[in-house]
Amino acid sequence: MKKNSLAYTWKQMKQKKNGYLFVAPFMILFTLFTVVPVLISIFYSFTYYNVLESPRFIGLDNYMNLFLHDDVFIIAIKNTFVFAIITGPVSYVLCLIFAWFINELNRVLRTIFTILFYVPSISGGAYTIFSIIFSSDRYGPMNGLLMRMGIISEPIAWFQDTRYMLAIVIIVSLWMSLGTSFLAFIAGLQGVDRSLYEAGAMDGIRTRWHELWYITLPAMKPQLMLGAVLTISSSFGVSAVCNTLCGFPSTDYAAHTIVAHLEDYGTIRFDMGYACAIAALLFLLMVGTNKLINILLRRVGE
Amino acid sequence: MKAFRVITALVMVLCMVMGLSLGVAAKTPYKDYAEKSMEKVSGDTVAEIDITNYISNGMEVTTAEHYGGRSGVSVITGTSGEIIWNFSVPVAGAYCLAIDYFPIESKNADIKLGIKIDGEYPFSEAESVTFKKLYKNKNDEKAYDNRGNEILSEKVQVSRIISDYARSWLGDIAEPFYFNLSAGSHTLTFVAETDKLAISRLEFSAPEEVPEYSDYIAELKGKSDNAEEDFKQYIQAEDVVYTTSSMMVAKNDRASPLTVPSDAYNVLYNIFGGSNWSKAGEYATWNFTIPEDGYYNIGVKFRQNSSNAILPVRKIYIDDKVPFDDLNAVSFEHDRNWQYQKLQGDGSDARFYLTAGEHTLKIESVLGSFSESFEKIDDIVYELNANYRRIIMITGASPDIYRDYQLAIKIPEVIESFEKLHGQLEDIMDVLDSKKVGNSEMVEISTICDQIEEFVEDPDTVPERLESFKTNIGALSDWCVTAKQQSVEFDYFVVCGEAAKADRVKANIFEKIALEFKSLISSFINDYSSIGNSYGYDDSIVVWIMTGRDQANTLKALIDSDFMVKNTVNVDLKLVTGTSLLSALIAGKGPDVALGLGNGDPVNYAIRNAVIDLSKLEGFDDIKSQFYPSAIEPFSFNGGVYAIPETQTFPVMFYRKDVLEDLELSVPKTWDEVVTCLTELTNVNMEFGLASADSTSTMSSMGMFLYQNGGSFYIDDYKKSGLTTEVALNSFKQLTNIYNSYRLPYAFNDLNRFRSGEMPLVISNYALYNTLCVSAPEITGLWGITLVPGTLKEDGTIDHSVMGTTTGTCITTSSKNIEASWKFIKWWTSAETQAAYGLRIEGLLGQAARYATANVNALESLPWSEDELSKLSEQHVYVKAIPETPGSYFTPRHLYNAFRRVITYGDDPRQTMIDYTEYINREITSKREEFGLS
Repeated sequence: MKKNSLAYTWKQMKQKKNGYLFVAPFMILFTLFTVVPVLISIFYSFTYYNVLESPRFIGLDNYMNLFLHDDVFIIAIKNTFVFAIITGPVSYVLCLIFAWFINELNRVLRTIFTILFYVPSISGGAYTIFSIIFSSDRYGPMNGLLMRMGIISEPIAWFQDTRYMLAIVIIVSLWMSLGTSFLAFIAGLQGVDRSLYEAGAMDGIRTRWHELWYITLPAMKPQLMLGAVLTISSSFGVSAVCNTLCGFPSTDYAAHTIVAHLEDYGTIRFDMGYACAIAALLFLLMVGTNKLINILLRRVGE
Repeated sequence: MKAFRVITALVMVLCMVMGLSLGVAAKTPYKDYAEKSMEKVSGDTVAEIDITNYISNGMEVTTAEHYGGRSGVSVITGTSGEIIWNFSVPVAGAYCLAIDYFPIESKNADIKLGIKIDGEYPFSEAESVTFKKLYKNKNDEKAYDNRGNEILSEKVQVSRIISDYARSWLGDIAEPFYFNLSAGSHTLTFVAETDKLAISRLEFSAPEEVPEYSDYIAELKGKSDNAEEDFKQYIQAEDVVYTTSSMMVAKNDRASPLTVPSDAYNVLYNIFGGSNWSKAGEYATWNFTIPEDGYYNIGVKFRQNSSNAILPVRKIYIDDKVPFDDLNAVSFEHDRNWQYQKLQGDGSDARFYLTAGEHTLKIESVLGSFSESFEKIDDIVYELNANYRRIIMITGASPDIYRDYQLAIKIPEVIESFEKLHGQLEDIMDVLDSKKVGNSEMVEISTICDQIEEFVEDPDTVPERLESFKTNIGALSDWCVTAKQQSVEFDYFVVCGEAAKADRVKANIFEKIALEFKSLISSFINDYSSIGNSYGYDDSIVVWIMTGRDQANTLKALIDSDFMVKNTVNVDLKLVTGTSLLSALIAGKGPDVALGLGNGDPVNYAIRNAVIDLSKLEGFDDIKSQFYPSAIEPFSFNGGVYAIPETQTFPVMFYRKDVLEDLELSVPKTWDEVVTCLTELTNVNMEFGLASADSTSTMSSMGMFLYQNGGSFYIDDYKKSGLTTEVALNSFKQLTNIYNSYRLPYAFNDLNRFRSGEMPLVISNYALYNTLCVSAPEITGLWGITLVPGTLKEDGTIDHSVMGTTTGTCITTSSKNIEASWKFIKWWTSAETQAAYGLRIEGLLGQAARYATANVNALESLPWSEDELSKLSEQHVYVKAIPETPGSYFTPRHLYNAFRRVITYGDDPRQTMIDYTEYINREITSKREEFGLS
């Protein structure tokens, strides 16, 4: 039976060989640069590997240390979740709302606003401007403003003070969060069949909210899915913003995320096996969350 | 006769002592002196000085005949003391001091002498007058590496007599110095600073007057004109002969396909000029030959894309003479692209009469009509900063805007000064306006001008706008530094017959596309990371450098001309990015030698067997003895040494003489004195600078206290952190205390605050010295460096320990040729190579790029003045290392965490430190277990 099904697959593949030929370039690159590295890193997570010498198999030690002995990992998980739970949904909703609003505008304005909102996310290191705005110096703009208004009397070390770090990083991330998912939403909104709205009006849709919930959103489910996956993975994978603004590692690990923890082990402590274990966990976490989102999104329009 | 000499000498000494006291007291700047100038004497009035008839005052003077090919006797000054001449002046008036001199080769870029008239300095600039050296390419022939890229020739000092007038080379005064001399006898004194100077002629005279164009033409009437109508003679700008600075080197331009010569594939140095040739007074010369007597035009192909308002101005000499007055100030219009213009005389193409044979073209950068304005702005900036300090003495740097500080009553002099400065700024704007400088180009001036006008009208708004006032001062001062930059690039000059057609200089779109396409192709073929000659892997060692391209080129030139000549080892130098070394080591494709590894890298690689132990190699002890132990220590681990130091930097204390003088404070020598000083400074709302802004700087601040108190970061043979020892806990308390009790800022911009004077004492890396020299001209001479404050020991000595940071070079375990690699490292870290590299890099990039070599002897060969060097050397002795051990990266991390905790939440420093040290110890233990170290 099994052999039969394999043979059947093979036959099918031969029949549709043109199709396979077309996806081959992507599949080869994807396998080479995504699938293989993921597998290798899962393999390394069971070894002691100091980067410069050959790895040594140590079983589940890395995972045990990670869960049982690593206090900082717990902090990193906490920070990542706080970060993801706030930025993920908020930025997702923001993307959707902005896309919806912008979609109502005429063509020229739509293009201008799309660019304006999209720019922060593609401008690479532009967020470093916030390290100047929130400079810990008395002459930093934010400190200067607050001192002038009499709210504070001593400068605040925004990115060194454990009380403010994560909050500012979240704000900065939201500022730059209107990224690819935002574009996908605009494209999705554009793609909704106009005749559906007419049909909906006939069928008793009364408000724009009804229209949004019963027609627009269900019609753009693929884009919603894509947006959700992108938002989730970007909020779980955050570290560059934290590291640039708060220093690496941040004071008292107050802005330490899972990826920052991974980088700490990989590049500073040269413990790549452990870093791979963290990566493997992060991978599972993301896959799990995406499944969850999938389930939630299925309910849209019901 | 002898008695007479003795008496004269005595009189001179007296004069000198009086002069010195007078000179110090008077300190008239040249511009004030020039305002009271007598009438300038006419061209043929000369007061000659018999140079052989000198009196020495503590100077070892020697004489030589036919020195530098000049007939007669030359006088060679010593390196200290004074030399005095008597001379008599026929007519009273203002004279320039003409001098023919032969610069004797030395490490310094320029020779400096003090000039006194009648035993005193006539103006403050005379205390140190620069006599420029000239530079030329070491090799006359152009050299290429084996891949066809041109190799930039090294600049060497020219051994040749130079005729010039004593002048300021700072780019602030356009003319030579004019000295006021009454009729009768006078004395001229040269005060030696550091270098020797051979003088073959001295006289007080006036520069020759330059005729008007019409007179120039009239004078030539009747001369034979055999010039061919369409004759063309190109002078390539990159073929420059003499320059006044070793930084003035040819450059590579690929922006236009019409640049001559042009090559899309290889690097050619095909233009000359740019930002390295922007200071007034700097000049360059070219030679050219003319076949027939006659009238010619001279055309210039140039690009001026630096400033579209304040146009760069150049003075043009033919055969060391400005032919007519239009050439005193030739300005160059702004355009992004290359332009061509013919030199003009009275509004039309100027006719130059040139005889057959060799000629020289000399182009000098001059300030043009704005020089006085720039001078004034420097003074205004200084004055504004002084006013700012006087205001913050009352209000503090962050004033309460709801409070009435009564500034008009408390500091009326500041308001008056604002009124005066406002007038001066308006005058400057009028001058610039009359020269057609657009308003948008001087917005920095108008902003602060309006602001201080409003301050005068309503002093109560000052506190509210203090911050923007400070920003505006900074902007004005930066504007002035930039505006003084007079940069223009030249591709070629052309001497042509009057009917010759000009060449096209603007490329069309197809030519541009062709060039870009070729460049694109070449980017696939050329290996841009290799520097210079490349030999392939088999018979050479591969060296990786992780700095800039200029540094790499300089090093490669040294390798080719020195190392490869002395040793039969080929060296492939590759320029790579900082992060690629680790990846390459993982992949087993690492170099033989890696340069510029950070403080902690070698040990980190060593414990993972990626670099080899150098201490076992032959001759290691000789190498080691050239460095302080503090430079070797970070690279030592478990009895081995894994890298040889290249650079070592450490903090010193910078102090503002003028501000401390105002406050009647002396420079603190110990931390106890600092505390006294802090009280005074806090009273007048000023600050003491000690940065603890991140883990690195906190580590450095903590290290200073820790080492001064006799502690160390690790105890028990690196098995445990030393931060919980009694000494360390006290040091940590001391550190946090000065921030908590005296509200010292922990994060700040040291350059800006030191410049404005609100932070008259700053502890900072000694590299700040060079930055200040280059970018803060308004406080030149008003600041100094000294040792960091120390801790008084029981035996009465003061311990000034600080923490230094070292970079080093190592050999990787993958190296196939350890012997050759070791030879290379020995050569590279030796005093001669380090000094040569340091001098060359400074010659190329300027003082801001002064090399911080770790080699003690090489440091002394770099152009530090005696005084600075002595302070640096004193501090260098006290430098301690940041020790490295497995897990040591946790020390700065948790030290900083503890520091922040105490500063932010006011926790008890003792308990906090003990808590965090726990983490450090845990990491050290686990890393030691990991590497099987007991």
